[in-house]
Amino acid sequence: MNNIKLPVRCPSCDDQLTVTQLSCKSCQTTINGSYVLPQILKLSVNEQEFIVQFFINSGSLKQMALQLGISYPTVRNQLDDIIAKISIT
Amino acid sequence: MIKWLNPVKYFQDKNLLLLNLLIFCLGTFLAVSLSARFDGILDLHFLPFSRAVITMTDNIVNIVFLTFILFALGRFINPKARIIDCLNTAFYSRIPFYLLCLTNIGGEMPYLFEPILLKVSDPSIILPTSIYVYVIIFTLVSFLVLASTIIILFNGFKIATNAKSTKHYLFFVLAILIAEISTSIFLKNL
Repeated sequence: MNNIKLPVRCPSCDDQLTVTQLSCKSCQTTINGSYVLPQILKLSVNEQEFIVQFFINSGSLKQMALQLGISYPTVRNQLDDIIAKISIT
Repeated sequence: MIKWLNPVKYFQDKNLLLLNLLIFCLGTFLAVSLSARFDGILDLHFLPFSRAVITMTDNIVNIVFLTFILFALGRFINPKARIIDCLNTAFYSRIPFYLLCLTNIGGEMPYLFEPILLKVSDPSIILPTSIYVYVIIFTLVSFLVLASTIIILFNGFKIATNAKSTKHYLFFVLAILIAEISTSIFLKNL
């Protein structure tokens, strides 16, 4: 996963940013428009990594806790925080 | 170090519970051997003679009260809070007090403050400097133990309940005060 943080908020007015240009690396085709960022891309890189791990472990928080070397409530709290963040945005 | 002050965050619940049960047995044995009694969740006093039943009852009452008070508050803050995390926090928070019992290895602790009390009643008595040094060291170690216990309790409670706001932290302080007062009253009337 790319570690460069995707900006989701405008640095000037703090409003949500949208995608206005997409480009193809091989043929240089560019597409212009206004696309709203998917919910998952609005999360931090660590939170996105957490969701990937959640899928890899078939949604088992206990399995995730064992794999990450942390306790079950710690993993559950991280999940609750992401749910709360998604619910707000 | 941080890992050991926040075991509920890093250790798997059942493994931690087993470790806690082992520590509880060793700690209670140590406290009985060194004539300590815990007449409150944040209290430690040394008896002139060892009384196994009193020390064991103190320790069990403290852990049970602390577990249920933290769990009740935990459920109020976060309905997903589990009793095993509160139990592990309560068990683990006793470790600094077990270590403080080691200060009574020579059996002198019940009498440590007697010369100081005599000095207060009769200022003409001259005490050797070593007594002041012992008292100062014991006071500093006691503060360290108290601070570590509160840090362990706070860290465990934070993970068990996912507490984040100042309101939650104030509730935690209140819960510790309630646990201290209720265990002290309960153990004095037992």
